[in-house]
Amino acid sequence: MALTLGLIRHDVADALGEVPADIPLDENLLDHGLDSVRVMALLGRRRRDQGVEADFADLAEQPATDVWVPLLEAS
Amino acid sequence: MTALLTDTDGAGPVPGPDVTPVVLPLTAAQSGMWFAQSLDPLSPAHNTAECLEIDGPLDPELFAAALRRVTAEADALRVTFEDSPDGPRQRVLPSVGLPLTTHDLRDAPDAGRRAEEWMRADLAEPFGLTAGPLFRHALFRVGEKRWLWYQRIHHLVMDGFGYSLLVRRAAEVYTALTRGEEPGSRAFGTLADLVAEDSAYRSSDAFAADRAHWTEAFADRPAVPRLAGRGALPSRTFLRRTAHLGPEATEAVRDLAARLRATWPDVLIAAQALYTSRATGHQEVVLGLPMTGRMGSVSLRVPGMVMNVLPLRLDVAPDATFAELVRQVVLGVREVRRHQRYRYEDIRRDLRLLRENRGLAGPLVNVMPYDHDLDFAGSPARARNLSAGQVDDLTVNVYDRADGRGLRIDHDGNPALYDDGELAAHQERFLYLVERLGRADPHVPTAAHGIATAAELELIAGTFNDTGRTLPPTTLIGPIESRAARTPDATALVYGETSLTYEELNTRANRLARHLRTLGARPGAVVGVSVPRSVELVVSLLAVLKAGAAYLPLDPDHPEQRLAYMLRDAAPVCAVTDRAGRLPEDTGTPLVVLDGLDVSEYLWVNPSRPLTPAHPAYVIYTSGSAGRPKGVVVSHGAIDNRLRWMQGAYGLTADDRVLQKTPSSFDVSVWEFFWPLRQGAVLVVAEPGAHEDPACLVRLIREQGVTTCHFVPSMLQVLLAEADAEACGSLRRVFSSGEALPRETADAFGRGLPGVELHHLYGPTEAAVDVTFHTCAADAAGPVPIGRPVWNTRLYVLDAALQPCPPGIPGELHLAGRQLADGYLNCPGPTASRFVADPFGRPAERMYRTGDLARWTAEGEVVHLGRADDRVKLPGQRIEPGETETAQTTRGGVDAACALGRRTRAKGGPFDPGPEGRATHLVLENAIGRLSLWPVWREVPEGWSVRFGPAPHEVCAATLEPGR
Repeated sequence: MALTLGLIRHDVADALGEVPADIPLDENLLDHGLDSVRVMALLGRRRRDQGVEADFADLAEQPATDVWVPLLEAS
Repeated sequence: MTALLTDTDGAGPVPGPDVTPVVLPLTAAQSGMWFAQSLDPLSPAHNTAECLEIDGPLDPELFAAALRRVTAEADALRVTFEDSPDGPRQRVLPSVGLPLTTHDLRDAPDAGRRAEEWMRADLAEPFGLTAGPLFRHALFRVGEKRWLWYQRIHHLVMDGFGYSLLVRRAAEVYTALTRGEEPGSRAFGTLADLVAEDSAYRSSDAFAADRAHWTEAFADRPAVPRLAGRGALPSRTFLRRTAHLGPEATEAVRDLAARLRATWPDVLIAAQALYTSRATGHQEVVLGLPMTGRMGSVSLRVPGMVMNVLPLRLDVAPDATFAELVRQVVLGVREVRRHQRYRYEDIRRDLRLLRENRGLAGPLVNVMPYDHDLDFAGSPARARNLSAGQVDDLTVNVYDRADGRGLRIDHDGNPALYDDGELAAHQERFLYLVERLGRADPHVPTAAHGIATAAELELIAGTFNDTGRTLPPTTLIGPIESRAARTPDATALVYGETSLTYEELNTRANRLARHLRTLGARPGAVVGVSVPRSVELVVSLLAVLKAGAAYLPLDPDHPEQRLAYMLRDAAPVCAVTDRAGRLPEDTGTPLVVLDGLDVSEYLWVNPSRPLTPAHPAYVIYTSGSAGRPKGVVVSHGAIDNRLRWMQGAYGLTADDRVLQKTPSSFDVSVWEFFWPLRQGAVLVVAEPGAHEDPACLVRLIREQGVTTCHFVPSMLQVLLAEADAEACGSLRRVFSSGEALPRETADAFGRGLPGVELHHLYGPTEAAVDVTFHTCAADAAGPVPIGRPVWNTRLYVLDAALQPCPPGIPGELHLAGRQLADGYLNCPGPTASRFVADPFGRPAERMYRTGDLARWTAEGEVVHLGRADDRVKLPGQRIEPGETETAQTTRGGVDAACALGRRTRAKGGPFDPGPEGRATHLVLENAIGRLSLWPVWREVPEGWSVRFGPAPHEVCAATLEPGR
């Protein structure tokens, strides 16, 4: 199952303790408090549940929701 | 040991024939490290190392081939360094040989230990930055199917994240090679990319913005919390202690983090902040956070040195909850991340801390969550860090093993600051705290948590404070009357040429007591005594006690204003004086003037009185911070406990002769007066003024054969210059108290008066003279402790949340037990604030907050560390700056005053404030200028000048006045 944009925003919001509506599409999520531990936790869950194959560096290199969608959908 | 394969012959730079090496400047991250290494080129402190345990089959040839490939792919491994006119440069060589040694230890019975020893020895070898290579490998076969892969890399070229990139790639390449496949294409970015990104950042607007952020956030240059109580230069090595947070506790931490919408590293950082705050006594702490610095950067794919350490400022208020502290961490770390590319060294330079050699952050919390699921063609591997580089103070390294064994936690310490035991204690307490925080409700104030372990709490409560002693319920005076009845003809008192037997003294005191009763003296009442040191003074004090009343010493040397204040405040039923005119006569207190008074008509036997141990025995006034002195009311039970302990500890006998020289307004005089009279010994009374004349005292000791006496340490120092073993041959024991006893003074005493015991005692007037004792030993070193608690007395060293401090950790000393005073006369406010409920005692028990900083030793003694407030002590006399300041501001023309202690003589002199010198060292540079206050600097506000007040305040008062 491919991840929807909505689910990704939900994940990010959950990791940051924010509401999904406040997660921007095209902004650097680092400025919103995303860090490597949170990225790994988020990625681990999606690897387990959805079989996502993207690795940590893929996500961490450009931490923005719109960049992540194709990476996470690629599976 | 058999070398299976040695490839070191080809080690070192081997530039290819037709490829030009790339020469690059250093990144900012590398520059700091390069300078640090240049300061001590032979130091191995910047070595980092890791050991991978590989379980399963492994082909050493293919393994070496994989490492060669990784080396070829990772630029940073192939650099050497050189200095150039434009600064240091790194030269990336096209290829280098592989520095790998392999060791077959399958047959060795202790393969693991031998491999470990080899690694430790290798870690102590420095790399040569110009020769290279700056890494080396070793492969140990420690079992048929068990291998240890060791790699050491200079921190200048690799950080922890870089290791994980290298290891992952090595596993990937090895796995492909064993399958006969071509490994995937090179996965790493180049070192040139890293340098270019760094250089772009340093000329960007973001760099300027980050710089502004840090300069502003730390403009006040906050104090660095140091668990060792001090800083030190980094050492060439470090101490490490490894422990694990168990699976259950780890799960609890993860759960807690999820509930608080944080990550588990946030929770551990908050726990370390809490620990550091309590262990250092700083409510605000600055922790150092090592950061990979790679998120959103090309460096995510470049093995190299990128990491940074950034300071995190946290306010650990005891009344805030742990959930709030974690939230503060989440937001604080978020803020730090936004500015994480700015270098720690640059922040220090901007704040001018570099040249003062001052740090920015206390303990480091280094969380490494990135080593999961690694295997070499199906043989699983687990990484174990061996060295994370130089340790400035203390670093807590946390590794998520993700193998169900919880978290691995390494405490690394600078050996110049910690020994193994201290490091272990910090680690055990931290783990114990994390375990409790994981279980506890995060929405209660952090004050609920202490940092001591259960074993430490038991040691303090069960062993250090095990002072319970059943004693008869007697009074201060009762045992003296019993003694007089048993040894009526023995000498009780000697004063100059006068000598009184116990019966004579008792009779005189009884007659005066009966006279005082006619004026209202009875249990619960107060009677003033203003008589210079003499036979009459002793008779008067005894008479007041015999009448059942509490005595109030009114030192004839005190200013009339102070005497009048005490008379009005204490409202004694009467006051005894030796002659008319001694006391102010307008206070309404009836005076009993001994000169000309005839009490011979009174009955000579002991008067009866309904006196109990709960009745007050004396009222002694101390300095007060609100500008007025406070009368401390001490009960018979309290002082009786004190004197019974003293007799139990030192065993005075009938052939002892005790010197009475302390003015009666100081509570030390209480035992000088009454201890000998309770034990049948002789009280030797010094003449008025003698207590300030060392030569006079030495003569008195010799002529009167004094065996027991007291000196404040500064006076003891002076006395030792006068005294010698011959002059003081009669002395058996000397007590010191009232100030810190410098070790040099104790040593000088041991040399000058060998064979004489030196006992150092400590206690406030509020706890019946003394509550701790320490016997000085000739071969001891370090600060002289104030010692152990006396009978029926408990000492608590408490942190800001009133939780017990473990041994070694400073806190405020609190006292509990039988010797506590009833409180301050007519001062319910101060009484309630200093005498508080004892949370560790039985219901309704109280404890006294001393305001003194102290710590337990591992042996159960207490070491005094100075004042928690700014009280100053001059030769044994407490001075509250607040009282002095108030006094100054009531003078005309003075709008504000600032009173400080001034050290007027060298260390050990009469005005030495003690080893800590806390806030009492004042140097006046000139009439208008700066008050240099050690250990802090306090600027005189602009437009003000400094002037010392008139004698006798000049030793303690500096007045700020509007500048002219």
